[in-house]
Amino acid sequence: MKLLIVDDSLVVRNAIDRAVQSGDVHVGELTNVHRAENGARAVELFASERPDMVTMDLTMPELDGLGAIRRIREIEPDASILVISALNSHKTALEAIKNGACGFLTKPFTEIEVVDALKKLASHARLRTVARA
Amino acid sequence: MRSVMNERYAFDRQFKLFKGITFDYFAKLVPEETPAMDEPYLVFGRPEVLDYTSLVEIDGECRGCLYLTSPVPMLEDLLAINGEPDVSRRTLLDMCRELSNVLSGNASQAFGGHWEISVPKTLDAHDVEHLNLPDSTFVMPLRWREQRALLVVGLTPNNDSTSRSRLLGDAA
Amino acid sequence: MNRTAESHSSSKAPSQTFGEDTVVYRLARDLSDLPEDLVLRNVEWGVLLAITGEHTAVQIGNAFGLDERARREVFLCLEQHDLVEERPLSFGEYLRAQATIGGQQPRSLSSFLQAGVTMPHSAPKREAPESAASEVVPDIRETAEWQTPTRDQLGLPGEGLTRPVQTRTEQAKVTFTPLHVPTSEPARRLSLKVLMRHILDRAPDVNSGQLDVYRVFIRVDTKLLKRNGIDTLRFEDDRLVEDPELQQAITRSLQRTLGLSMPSDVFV
Repeated sequence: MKLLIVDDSLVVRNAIDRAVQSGDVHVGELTNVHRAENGARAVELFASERPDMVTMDLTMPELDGLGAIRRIREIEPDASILVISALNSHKTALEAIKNGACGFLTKPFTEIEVVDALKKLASHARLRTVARA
Repeated sequence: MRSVMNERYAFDRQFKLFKGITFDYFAKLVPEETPAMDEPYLVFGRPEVLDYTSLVEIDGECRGCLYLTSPVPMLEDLLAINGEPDVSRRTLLDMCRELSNVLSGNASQAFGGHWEISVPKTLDAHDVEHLNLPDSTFVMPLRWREQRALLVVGLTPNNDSTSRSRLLGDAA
Repeated sequence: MNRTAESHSSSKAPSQTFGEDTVVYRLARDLSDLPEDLVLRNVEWGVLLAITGEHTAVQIGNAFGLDERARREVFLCLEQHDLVEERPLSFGEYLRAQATIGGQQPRSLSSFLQAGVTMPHSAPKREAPESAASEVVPDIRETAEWQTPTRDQLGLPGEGLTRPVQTRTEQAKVTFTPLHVPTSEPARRLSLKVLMRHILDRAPDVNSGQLDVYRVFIRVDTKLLKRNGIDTLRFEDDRLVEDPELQQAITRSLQRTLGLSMPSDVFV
């Protein structure tokens, strides 16, 4: 499986990367992790790499998270996207889900939280693959 | 009297919200080490700033800015909690920006359309020198892991006849 | 012959002589035209309503039992609100105004008149206090901006002013009323701790009270605070403010921000 991490913070990108690659946890069978620092770059990478899962920040320069989700859904309507954001409100979460996100995690997050969320996202991605097959 | 009450309500709401957001952030990060708040105080003239500052500008019923200014050791601790071994200026600023995002993002959500919350700025001590910060600030010292950060709010009522220019316009 | 000594111009900006002893104030606007949101202390309302343009600041202050500091505070406030303005005085009026102040030392009519004529122009010189409790004559020369009256205007001979002045009773009908000699009182100091305690006590919780204190100080000029050595303020600080201008600024902000009058017990 391939994962795309989208966040304008290097520290957050590193943190998610380390969590999913740590020896103690296994998020599906990850083969590749791609990283993007804004929404526009995320759309480019999604189009070229076709990752199975995406973690998406919302507040980013150039193209924000919701805009990127909409563009990604145009490319892949069933994309498995987990929003990871500092915006801690029901309204934001609902907006993200309405736009096509599969899950919502608030910052700051612990390693366990992000791994648990990604495991669920991986299940969603696998189901999607099975459905296609 | 009505405007007096509105102003009071706006101030109360603002301060308590920002304080809550900041404390929640630290509490969630390390639940067993929740931050404590020392007695707040007022500063007149140049506001206090520490090594790195994450700042948002606010305009609505009141105008001014809110910032969290932190010492390097505190940011290093936050980086360590995030598993980040690199403690360069780049990652310190990045960590600081994350704090700004939390503050500004949640404040925007909570205040809705009546408020304009600026894109957060992340500044080191040198950058802060170039800002035109409010003259009177309310400082809430936050202690966490033996470190002391300052949550600072500088607001003025927006119905004052004093200058309505943006408080944080870069001096340059 | 016109012997009036038309004095300083009456500028719109608050003068620097607020409540100065010999200043005569008049209303700057009609009382029916006051702003609806105008908030004044009782004593300020009282003084405002007592202003007829015929009495000096010290006469009005005395009528209200105000000491010099309190009187200046009141007139500063009224000037800042554009409620009163100084009235130009004729020479005769100026002399009469002089009669309302001054020391207790007996003097001849000519020396009194000479002092009245020369005071605005001669080098600053305060009367030496006659005793610890005596009044210091205000130095109006630095602030009153008198136009130098010509000798012709004053009907004076061409020689030096040291000669006794001819009295012109039709202009300067001097009436000697008993002088009120206020005793010198120590300056009133405003306790910020007491003031903050008042604000905190009326708030629903500590945080709100602290914010109320902050809101009051937002409207106080920081330059004024810093001039008085106040760079920071903690809620338990016991700071005493002596500067009447700062006291006035805090008082006004308290009224405007919280709608409160300054409690009397904050003054020590």
